[in-house]
Amino acid sequence: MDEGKKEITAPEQAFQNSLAPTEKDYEESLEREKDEETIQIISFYLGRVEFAFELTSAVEILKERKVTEVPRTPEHIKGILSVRGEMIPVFDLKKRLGIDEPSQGQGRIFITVFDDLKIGFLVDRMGSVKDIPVSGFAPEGDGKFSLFSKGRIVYENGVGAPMLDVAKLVNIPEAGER
Amino acid sequence: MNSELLFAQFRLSIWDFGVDLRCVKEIIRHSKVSARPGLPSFIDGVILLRHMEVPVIDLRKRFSVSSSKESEIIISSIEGRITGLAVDRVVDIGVPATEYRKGSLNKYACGPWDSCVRSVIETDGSRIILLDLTLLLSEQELRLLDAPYESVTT
Repeated sequence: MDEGKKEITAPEQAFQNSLAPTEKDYEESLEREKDEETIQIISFYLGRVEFAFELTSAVEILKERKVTEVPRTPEHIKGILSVRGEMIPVFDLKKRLGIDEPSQGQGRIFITVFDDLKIGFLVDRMGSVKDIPVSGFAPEGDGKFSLFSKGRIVYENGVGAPMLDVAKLVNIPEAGER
Repeated sequence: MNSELLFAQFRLSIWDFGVDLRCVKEIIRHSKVSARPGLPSFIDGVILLRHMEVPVIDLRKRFSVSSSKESEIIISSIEGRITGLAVDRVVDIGVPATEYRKGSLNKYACGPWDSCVRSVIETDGSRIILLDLTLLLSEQELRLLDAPYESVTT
């Protein structure tokens, strides 16, 4: 992105003139929060890194279970899972994103929907559902996972999490394919 | 006796303290205090709150008592300056109290906090040291809180 990019934890714009905010600054921050639209996201972990999907794309979350392997599919596709008679392809999301970290045994299959298709993603563990104000999203820029994300959620008190785009995860060929 | 005093009760180490609820803006339960270079020494860091950087004073450090592993932050207004006070745990809010005058229960209020004790309160069998936040900070410290924001962020 640009040179001299500020640390993600620093606010982009000073909403106060003094070291300690004034009563007025405080009241204005509450007003701003009331006016801000929020987007709900649901987060999960791959290794120690937190990611998120928009809550609207989430369908259900299952405990990790055996999937039926399908021969001659890319390595990041674990196989097919039957859920109440429906056949759902399951991706190994760590393999898809090139994250090489061991699982902790709390694996979940996160079933998402896009274009009426259901896709399952194997993740290490679930995080939580959060309400993020629209101003809390930043472009991913040239971050590590930018190829697959819709942007980055910037937490006020943390590093932030890439918000993944199901369509990109499904459609973009892996580097080296073809 | 002031039967209408409501206070927020919190723990620092083995003591229970209270501050007038009118000074309390909100409580932050899970927080991350970030360091910033150039902060005055009485400020232990800042917490980001709705795009504001609120300076945090760790009361355990200020009163030289041990901290618990966990911290909660009381966002308070000290003479119009919004400041965070890091404590072990906020125990209760909106507790009405019967106030004892400072003199009569002196032995319960001896400590590094003496200069800002308003009184000692008896409630439900426990004793709470009620602090006067207007006495917490010195004139110089208040002036530093009014310093321009840019002076510590670059």
